[in-house]
Amino acid sequence: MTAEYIITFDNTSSAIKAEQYLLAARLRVGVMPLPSQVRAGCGICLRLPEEQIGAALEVLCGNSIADNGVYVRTAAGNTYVYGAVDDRSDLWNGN
Amino acid sequence: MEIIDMLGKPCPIPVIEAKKALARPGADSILVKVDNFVAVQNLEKMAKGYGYGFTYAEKSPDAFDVSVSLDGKAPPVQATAADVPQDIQCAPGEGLVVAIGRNTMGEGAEELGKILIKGFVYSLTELPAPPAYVFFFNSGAYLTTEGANTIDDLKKLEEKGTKIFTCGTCLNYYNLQEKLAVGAVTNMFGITEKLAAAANVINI
Repeated sequence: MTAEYIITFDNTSSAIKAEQYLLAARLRVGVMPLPSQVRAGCGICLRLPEEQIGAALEVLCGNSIADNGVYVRTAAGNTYVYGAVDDRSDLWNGN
Repeated sequence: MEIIDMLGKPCPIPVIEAKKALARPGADSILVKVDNFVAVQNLEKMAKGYGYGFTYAEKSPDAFDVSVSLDGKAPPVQATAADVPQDIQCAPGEGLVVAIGRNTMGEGAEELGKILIKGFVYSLTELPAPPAYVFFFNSGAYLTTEGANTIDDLKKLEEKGTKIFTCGTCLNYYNLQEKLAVGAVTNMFGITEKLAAAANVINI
């Protein structure tokens, strides 16, 4: 299974707008509550497959939607581990 | 002796109903009919926990007669669905049915409700014991059909053993009958039967 990425937001309105832009861009965006391991951000976050995270960030940037953070999520048994992505250059370059 | 027919009833209903029957005034012994051995074991745990008499007979691989008698002991405190003995083991999610009758969650701003319901559907995938059934009806049908970004999460739920059904009348009304993307179609009898047999229902 490939990695997935989580985008968090400062407020719910941004998360709602972001989902609408990503759906309009036909990206495979999923909605989920903010995982308890991720402390920062509003209660709703968006989930994207690895191959689409770069395109998603591009869409959000192009529509002036600021995010609160990007996290990579990997499965660990029955749960998930979330790691903050500090350097986004790899995500952008990959797309 | 009161006979309690628990055939087809999901865990933990047989134990709850047995306790209710034993708690009734004048009850001395009961015969509980169940269709699986886990239910027999759970009734045994309940009975022995109180020091009651317990015997069972296997009538066939899916029919067991369980006898529980107070044997002079005090009757149990009446149990409810929210008061299941801790040592009772139910299979994951057995007895939980989720009914989603719209494509939003809560009252108020529609765009907020629409994103909340998606978060809720995702959250079901992270329950330690996923629901046995999730039913979608009325505008809830928009969550199981092409174009919905809840499909991936619902497929994950299916992988975990949850059965997903959408109301056929509703698919027809919204002209979505060719667009079902996860689970199967059901009718009002299917929905009603499972809701009636559920130990717990989450109604959205």
